[in-house]
Amino acid sequence: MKQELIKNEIKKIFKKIAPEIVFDDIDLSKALRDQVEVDSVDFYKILVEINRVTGVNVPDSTALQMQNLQELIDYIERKSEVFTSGALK
Amino acid sequence: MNFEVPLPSLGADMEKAKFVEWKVSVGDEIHKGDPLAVVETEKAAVEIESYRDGKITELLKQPGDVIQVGVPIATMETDMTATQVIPDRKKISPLAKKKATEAGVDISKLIGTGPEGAIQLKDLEVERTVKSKVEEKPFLSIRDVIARQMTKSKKEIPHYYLKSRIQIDHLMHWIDEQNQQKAPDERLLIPAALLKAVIKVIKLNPNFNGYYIDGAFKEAKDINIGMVVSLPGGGVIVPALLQAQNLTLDQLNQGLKDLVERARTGHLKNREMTEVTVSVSNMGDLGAHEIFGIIFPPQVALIGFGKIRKDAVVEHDAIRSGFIIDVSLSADHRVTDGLAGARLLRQLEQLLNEPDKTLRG
Repeated sequence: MKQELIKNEIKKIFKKIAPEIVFDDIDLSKALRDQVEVDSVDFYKILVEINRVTGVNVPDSTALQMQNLQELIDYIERKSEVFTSGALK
Repeated sequence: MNFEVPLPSLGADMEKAKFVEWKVSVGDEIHKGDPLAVVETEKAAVEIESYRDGKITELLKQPGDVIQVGVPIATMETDMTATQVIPDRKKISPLAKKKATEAGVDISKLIGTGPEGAIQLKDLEVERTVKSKVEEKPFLSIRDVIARQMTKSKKEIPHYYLKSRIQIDHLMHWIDEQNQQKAPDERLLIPAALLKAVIKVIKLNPNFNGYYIDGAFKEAKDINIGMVVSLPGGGVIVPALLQAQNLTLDQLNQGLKDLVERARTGHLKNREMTEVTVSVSNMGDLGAHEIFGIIFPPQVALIGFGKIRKDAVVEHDAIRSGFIIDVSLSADHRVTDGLAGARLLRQLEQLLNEPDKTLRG
């Protein structure tokens, strides 16, 4: 449930920052860079929105080591205090 | 006096533009730096600024017109005398000045198409062609423009290349610490931190900041750092953060985000397109470990950053995992040599490893 909530929020963020990307076509277990072209400025906008919506700051040193979006979702799940009963910041 | 406002130079190899819209009306009082109009080149929409104070008296072009660089687009009344009409910052190369004097050409009538409005040798011909009928040629595709520019660079510039692998654990740790204290939308971008270090190293090595024109190197007064920005439709554009040497890290950070946004939505200013003095490419964004870029003429250097990644690092005879980045320098051998280039990369490494000292302010 929590994972689905987080995934939906990330989908909304992608739609806002990179509307040309079809989020549902992304394989969450594969490297994002192999599937879509998102440069550092776009990626930072995504991290800023994630912070704004979930309250989770993903440090650059952590983000750079993430292999795919599933790892990002897992990280947010571990760190977030707001994904309870669907409540969002 | 009445003055004809020409379409200014819009970058190397960009000889014409399509008129999009006016930002002024007849009768408007304008100041130097105010937006005049928007034109579209083969690469992007660009906002033209006024180079002087005055009052608009006539608008000579309308949307859809294709205009050559140097052709008047408007007239304005200015208080400046004829000898002041050419702005102080418009320069002329020594060779162009010599040839103009020999040919008896009035320099005050020349339109400069070089960097910062500099008059070059080829502009001696423009003064004759400006008044003749403009030949309509179709716009080239962005790929054609890039092909022309890069071919010219490879033909004319004797490149040399150097690379350094730099350990940046201190930098990454410093950025994480900074971002923990910042509001989300003030988040510091890693490229902004890299740019700040580049600006500092260029200040120490001014021979990498400027233009090679008519057989001589001209050091630029300002560091107008060009950032390679990918465009949604394909291709890249290299707009400048102007006078970057005067920007704090926060201003650089905000300026970078703003510049990328405007580059992608077609709202760049002509000075941002034409006055780049040195360029930086961050191909690491797209996964490349190294980039050996092609210099954008008439600049004399390009610094490339590869992908930041974890790799084996040797420290005190032990191997551990650490953050590294491969930094490359492409430079013009007519202006600098490998010794100077190696010194620049070594200094850049030192700056990146002292983020508290390098990046504050």
